[in-house]
Amino acid sequence: MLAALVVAVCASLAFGAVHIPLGEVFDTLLGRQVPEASKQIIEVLRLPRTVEAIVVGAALGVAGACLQGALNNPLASPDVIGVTGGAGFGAMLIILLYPGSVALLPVSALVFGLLAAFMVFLIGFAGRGGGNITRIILAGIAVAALFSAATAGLMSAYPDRVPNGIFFLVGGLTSTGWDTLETVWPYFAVGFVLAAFMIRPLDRLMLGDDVAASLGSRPRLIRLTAALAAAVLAAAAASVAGLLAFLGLVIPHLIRLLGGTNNHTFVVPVSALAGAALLTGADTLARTIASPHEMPVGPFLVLLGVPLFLWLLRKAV
Amino acid sequence: MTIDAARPNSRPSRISGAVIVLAAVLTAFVLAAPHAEAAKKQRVIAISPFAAQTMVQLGVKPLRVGQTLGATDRQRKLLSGIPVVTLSHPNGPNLELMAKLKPDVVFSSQQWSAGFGALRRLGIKVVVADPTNPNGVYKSVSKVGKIVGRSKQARKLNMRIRSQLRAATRNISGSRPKVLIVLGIGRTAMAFLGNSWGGQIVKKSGGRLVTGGATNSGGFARISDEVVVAENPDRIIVVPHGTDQDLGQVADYILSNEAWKTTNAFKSGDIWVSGDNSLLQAGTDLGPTVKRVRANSIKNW
Amino acid sequence: MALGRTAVGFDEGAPLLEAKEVQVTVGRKAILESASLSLERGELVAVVGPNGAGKSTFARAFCGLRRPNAGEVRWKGVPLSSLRGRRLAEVRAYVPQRAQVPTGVTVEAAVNIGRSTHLKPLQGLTSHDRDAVADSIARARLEGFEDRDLSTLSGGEMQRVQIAIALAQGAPVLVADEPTAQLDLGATAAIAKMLRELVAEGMGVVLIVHDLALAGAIADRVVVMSHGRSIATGTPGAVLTSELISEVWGVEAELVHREGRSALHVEWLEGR
Repeated sequence: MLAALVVAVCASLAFGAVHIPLGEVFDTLLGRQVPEASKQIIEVLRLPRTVEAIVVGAALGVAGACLQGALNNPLASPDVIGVTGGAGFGAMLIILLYPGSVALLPVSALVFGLLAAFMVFLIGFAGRGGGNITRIILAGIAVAALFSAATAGLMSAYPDRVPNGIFFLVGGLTSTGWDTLETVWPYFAVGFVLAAFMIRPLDRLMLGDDVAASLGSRPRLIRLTAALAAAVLAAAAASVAGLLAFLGLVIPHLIRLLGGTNNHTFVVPVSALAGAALLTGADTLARTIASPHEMPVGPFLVLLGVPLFLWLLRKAV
Repeated sequence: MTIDAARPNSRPSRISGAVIVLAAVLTAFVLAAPHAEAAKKQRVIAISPFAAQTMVQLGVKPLRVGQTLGATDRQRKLLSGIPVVTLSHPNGPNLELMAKLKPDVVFSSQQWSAGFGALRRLGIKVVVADPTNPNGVYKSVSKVGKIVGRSKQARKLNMRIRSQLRAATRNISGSRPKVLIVLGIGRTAMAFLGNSWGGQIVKKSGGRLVTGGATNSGGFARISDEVVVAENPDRIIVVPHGTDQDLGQVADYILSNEAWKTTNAFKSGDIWVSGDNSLLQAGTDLGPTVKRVRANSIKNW
Repeated sequence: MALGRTAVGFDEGAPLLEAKEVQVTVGRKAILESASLSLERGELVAVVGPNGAGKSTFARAFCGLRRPNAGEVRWKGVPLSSLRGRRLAEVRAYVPQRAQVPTGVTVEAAVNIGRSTHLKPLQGLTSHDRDAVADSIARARLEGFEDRDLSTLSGGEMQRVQIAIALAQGAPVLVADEPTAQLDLGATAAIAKMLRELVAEGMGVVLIVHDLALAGAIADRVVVMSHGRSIATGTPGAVLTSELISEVWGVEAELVHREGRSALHVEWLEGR
């Protein structure tokens, strides 16, 4: 899996609308002399984008794995806790209402993504009967529907600006430099750290709430924290790359099928690697296949991921 | 319509000697002065159709122009022969291509603002010079002129635009008919509002814009059939969106709208399908556009 | 995952577990009125009683899985309220009646999870931990099963895995809620033997059982519960008399020991 990631990263840096020989790519990275244009393309455009792809892919892979463990449900993905719906609304708010303040887009997506997750947690975890998986999932569906409707309402009020927003909605990376990452990297950091600490507790949760309690864990707290980690990672990912929830759903399953195990000590880190590799690879393809036209990476992910997933399913059964 | 820059046209004469040489040199200097601004040949890419067409009219050809999106571009002839860059959401032109071409200036539109940061980081200056309404054309032309080093030509162009507009808006009197402009896409009608380019043109052409009171910063709004019937427009203008739509089909589609049958426009058959983007896209052809609207729709020309 | 923090140390001289007059209420209703139990090292205490007597509730209460509304619980002298998370896991291991069986997990992986209480959050298993895991697997008679997927095991084997997980915790007390309820004769006997072996090693075991004959055979002491109260405590012979059985279960029966075997002679049908 690590090898796949390395290959994908190299491809991402090497390929693009403009042909740059591989030797020049390495030279640029090592700080040696290269033609000005190549240097600019690699440093300003491709490098940040590649790093974004790695971080977002890893974040979504981990988010999906954590959620599926926390909710003990193979259908769990960042959609389910409302994050994607909220982030979509936050982004469209800026694109449609304040198109001049494009810099605010990641912030708005992040804020509304977290807000949506907070609403789901409030309903799903608080009070009597809180922490119940069905309740959390239902709350997530309701909140997602709410934001979805709000987004649709916005879009119908400003239909001429909608095309700009479609790119975000279907999920795509753009080569706009380090700005977005600089703004949201703390959220990625917090999310990854939380997730790392949740790996063992999630394993305990696998054995059942009672056994987990016997081992000194609090099932409700584990669910909440793991879901929180997932929410933060997914919101940050959405603010950078739009709505790519498919990754969060499929990658952990892919890893489980490939690895033959449900152990979170294996599934979570490897999901990170796989997510990063898949997104980087898919993005490179999306950028180059119809060059110079840049396709959004979301549909590509689905095109790449689904056949792979179906093939693995058949093998497993 | 291009204006070629004047060239010094003199040959030193053995007979007249120093005086004529001096006079020639002075003449050359005076004639070359307007050139001084543009002496350093700038690499300019004009994504914005307005900027591209204005530039060409000022006598400077851009390196590249943006592809035409939306309706047929009525001023495209000006840009013939200039290579086109494809545009895609949300950044507009392919950024790697821009890095390779390394222009000094890019004239872009607000629509592609997502890519401005990256362009600037690549060391490319980004300028948005599109006018948001017809009254702003003069300022925009001056802005373009200044950047490409043709301020004098820009002043001349502005004067020409002004006189054309004056001629086109002559003798607007009498009652102003109510005009509804719709974007002919899909099932529901999107009306042009007062702050849209087309809306302003129609106002200048002597029409009263029908909007049903809707406002929208984007310039367009969906208005219900009930509002259309209540407002009862005298004229309807249909602007198709898309380059290869069959205009006849679009007209038929609008005519099949049962709800609008009661309007004056339907009854008198005053429905005009504008075949290009003159009501959608800002341009320097204010005068000719107003004339066309007056002749074809308002019928007060 | 709550990390325990307590300044109070365990008292090695105190009984492993001491529960006094524990009460659990739900809303207004008390599902456990008052139950008491004590446990020493090397002792197997069986908790018996009819359905609804509150046996499971009692066990969950003194194990800290459910907060008692009244009463006192002490583990090695330390009050339950001071014990959280890991510290509690250090002193007792709870094996539930019906635990979910996850897919895609091997026996060894599951027992490793049981050992995780000894590990810091991002630390891996040390060789000492691996030895402990192997030891737990051995004591639970699961050698050779390490790579088996849990979903392929029989009921009896899965129960042994649960016990192995509990053993990996390394706690001196094992509390098992009806571990043999779904098992056949052979599997039940295997569990019984295993539990006695654990007790022989010095562990304390609390066993909730329905089977009075089993309780009589393997328990050192028996606690009888009825209607949310513990009504009798003592050796099986002393407590499980015909009178008590008749009073509590409403059935005429006699517990008989003979030649190392125990049996419950029950008058299933009245007057024949």
